Amino acid sequence: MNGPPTDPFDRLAAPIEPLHPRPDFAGDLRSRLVAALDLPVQLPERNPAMTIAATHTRATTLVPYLAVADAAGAIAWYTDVFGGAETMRVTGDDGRIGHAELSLGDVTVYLSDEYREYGVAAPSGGLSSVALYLQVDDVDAVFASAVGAGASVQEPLADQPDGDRRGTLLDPFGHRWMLAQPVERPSTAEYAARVAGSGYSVAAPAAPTGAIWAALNYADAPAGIAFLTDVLGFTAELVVADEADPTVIHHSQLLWPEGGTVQAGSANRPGNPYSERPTGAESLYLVTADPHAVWARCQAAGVTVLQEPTEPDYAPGTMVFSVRDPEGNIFSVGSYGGG
Amino acid sequence: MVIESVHAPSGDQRRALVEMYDAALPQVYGYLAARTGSIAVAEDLTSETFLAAAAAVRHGRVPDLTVAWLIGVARHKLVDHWRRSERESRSLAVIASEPDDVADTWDAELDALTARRVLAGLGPHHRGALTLRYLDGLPVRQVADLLGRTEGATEVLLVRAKAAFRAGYPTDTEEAR
Repeated sequence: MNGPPTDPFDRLAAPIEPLHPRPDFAGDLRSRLVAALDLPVQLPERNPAMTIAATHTRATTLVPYLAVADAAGAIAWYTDVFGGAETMRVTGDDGRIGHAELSLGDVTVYLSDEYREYGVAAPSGGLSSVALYLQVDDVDAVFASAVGAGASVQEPLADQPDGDRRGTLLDPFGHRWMLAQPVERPSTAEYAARVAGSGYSVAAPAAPTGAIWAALNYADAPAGIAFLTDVLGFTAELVVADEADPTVIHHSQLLWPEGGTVQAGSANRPGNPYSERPTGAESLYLVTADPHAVWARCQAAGVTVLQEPTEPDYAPGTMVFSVRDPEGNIFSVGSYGGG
Repeated sequence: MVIESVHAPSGDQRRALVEMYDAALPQVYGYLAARTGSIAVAEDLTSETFLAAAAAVRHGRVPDLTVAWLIGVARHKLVDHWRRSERESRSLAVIASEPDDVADTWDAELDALTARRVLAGLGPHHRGALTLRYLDGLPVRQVADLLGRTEGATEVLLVRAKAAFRAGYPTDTEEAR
């Protein structure tokens, strides 16, 4: 061989110059590499003191768990646009965010980077099978902010016949959001009337009759039932009057629109021990999302008020009031429904 | 919530390979892209390199997991590639075109770009030998090992490869610059 100093081919020496491949290729190869390595998942040892007691109340909400191609970018975008905060981030050794928790107002969202090796992939091609319905206080401002930050409008913001002011957009990570601000609460019948002729019909399934039926005795049962239906808002599903004396009510099934049944009947019917109880001595609590509407009817009817509308200290943000029916039974009506 | 991702015991090369991926990828890809001159081929060989590395790591066959080791794996993949290409493109025409003049003296001052173009026009066996010997700067013994030839056969191959290169290199070197 020639001595190195005189070999013209030495000019071919090519030290490695780093070159970045296409991001798609780099990401795909990373996934294939991680899958090929079959990395073990190691769980920390359980701390018995942290074991959740069997009686612990489980979460009653469904938390959306989003997959995004750029979790770090998505966390910044969501918290900025929707006004929230990141409360948890778990980063894998491979740099991907395996889990993050966001608090957007009073709702929670989970998200992670894509883990295609586990079938976790972000929506693509403008198609998304799940929409995220989010109620906000100022939908016009949030919607504009989202669009300004790069979201694309799928359905412009508008007052909807169901009572929402609402619009739909696709965020930069491919997820579909329905941003809404409730502005009124039309009844199902009103909603149905508004969309009549639009190609859609509206139906709400019958309210559950409930698993506990309360029984009330009235000296004047027809008047009691009229109060329950006309003032409080029960629906008379069935009223069984005496054939000889229609003012005597043997049985009735009165449905509370949001679930539950009251049986009202005439007191002191001969041979019926259940009816031999003092009248006007019962107290019932009715749960409704809209106690204000019931209160308005009570005021219009001039009923006896036991407790003016108030925000109970056991349930901030709800409203409750109490009235008496014509015979003295107490009805408390409130928006607190447990939980 | 359950945190499923915790640090592996030190020395776990599987995790180490994933951790070095971001830094190693441009090195491996850059090495292969410059030597194949083709994005598609460089991507294929880069994938083969990392997946082979994954297999080796899983079987505990990597004494020293470094970028240099990965480049070595990439070099083997490159040789395999030339071998495949040679099988596919082997023809009488290529062999017949090998020059008889094998004098190994030439004092032209090579222009890098022109040289790259000439190299790309050579048959895979000549291109591979010259790449390993000169672009990578490997000693003849190592080139021989990689190509699966004896040192003597490799010397002959290199002489023929250089002759083919000279035959393809523009005679008017001034014009080539």
